[in-house]
Amino acid sequence: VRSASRSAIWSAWGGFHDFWFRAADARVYGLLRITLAAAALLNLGVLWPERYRLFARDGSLAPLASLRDAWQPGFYSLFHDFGSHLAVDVTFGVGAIVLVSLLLGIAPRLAAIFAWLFHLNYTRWAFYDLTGWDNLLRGSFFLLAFFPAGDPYCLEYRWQQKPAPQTRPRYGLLLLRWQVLVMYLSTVWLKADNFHWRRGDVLGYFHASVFSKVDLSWSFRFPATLAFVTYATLLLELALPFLLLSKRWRALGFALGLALHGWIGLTTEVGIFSVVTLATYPAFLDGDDLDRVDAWWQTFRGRVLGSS
Amino acid sequence: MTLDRVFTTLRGALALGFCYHAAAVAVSGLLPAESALAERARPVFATYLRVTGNMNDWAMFTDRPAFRRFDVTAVAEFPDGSTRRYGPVLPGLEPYDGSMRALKLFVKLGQNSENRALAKYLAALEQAILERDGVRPRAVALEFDTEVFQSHAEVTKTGVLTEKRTYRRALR
Repeated sequence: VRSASRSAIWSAWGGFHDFWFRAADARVYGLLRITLAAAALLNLGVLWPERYRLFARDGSLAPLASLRDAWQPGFYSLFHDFGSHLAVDVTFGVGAIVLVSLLLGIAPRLAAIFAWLFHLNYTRWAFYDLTGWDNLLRGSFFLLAFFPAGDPYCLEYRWQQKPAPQTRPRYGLLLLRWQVLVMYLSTVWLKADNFHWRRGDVLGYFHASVFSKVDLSWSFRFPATLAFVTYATLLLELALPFLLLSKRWRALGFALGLALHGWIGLTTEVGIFSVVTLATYPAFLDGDDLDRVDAWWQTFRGRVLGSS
Repeated sequence: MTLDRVFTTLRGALALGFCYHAAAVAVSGLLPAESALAERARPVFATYLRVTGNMNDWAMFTDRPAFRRFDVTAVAEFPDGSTRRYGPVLPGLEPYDGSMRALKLFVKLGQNSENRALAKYLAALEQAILERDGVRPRAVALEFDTEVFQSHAEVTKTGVLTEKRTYRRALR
């Protein structure tokens, strides 16, 4: 009996272990590293003109920083002690260097840790004025810091002429997929019992508000269509993570996600959220997907070059 | 069991623990604050969340937006009875530019006149005005010039989507 239960425990252990640590194509990690670093660089570029307003000791958020005790665990930010314009410039400069290093794959583990610290530092200071994409970037870089480091797209392997790892344990991809799934489900969960989401007119209000670049207030003249589009948006947010998780429907998930976030990105003032969300999508890919894209690309290139 | 195997097993257990913990933390954000389950789960993860900053707050556009148009200025009253207008953005008393983060900040500051953040912000504005003009204002307020969406009942009754609303937020 003792031997049987020991065997069952080891078998369960093996199952759990295999679920999280089975080999995944290292190129997926590489692509994810590149897309997240690129999205974070874009965010940094958007923050740059506002950096003194947001982070300097004479800026708009400095009076509000004392609403929290900086010395409580989890509240300290370097901006509490280094809030001069020069210090803010240096912090942003370091952030940019770290993100470029991550993008290129130079010391990727260290770069991921510092990228997380950069986002943690600014979000702790700017807690009164945070956006959804700040949360998503900070959480993604935390996971990235624990990801298996090193992939075939890292520049440092090419420089050193070392063979790059072709597979990596897949736990990092699973955790980021889970994070994205929770994000989508949370938004649906929180919206579903709201009066205007249920009435189906919230998108009309949204596109007539300060958050929209295009004025679609005329859409109120077509309430049934407006309600249909509003419900379709909710349904899409609910379905997207499951489509992305499914090998069979993944391409459709990518296309619909691109359409939804592309629309948000082009027509609203919160477009960077779309960029950051789409930057997490490579976590749903596997090696077969990348092979297919590569084959398609080679064919496309061959045809274009062949016809020119 | 060799020492090497013990270390390998421990390392594996630690890694598994991290994975399940990170997954549980992410899903804990889904629990409504008022649920009995959240009451039990939140304290377990509170310190970890504060230290790592991995808060899962995805309450984005869960209701219709409030404003069709939004603008804000700072208004200062001086001891001689005069009034002057300034840009409300620090540093430099710059005008409000409608950027997403400025919008979020001033919408929150303008929610009511009894929040500590507003008191601190108005004090900083007062100091900035003193440094620029050499006179300490007697009072400073934020003046909001907005167009807000009317209630659903009002829209249904009148067919008018918005109304203009100008209001001030000052210390009480």
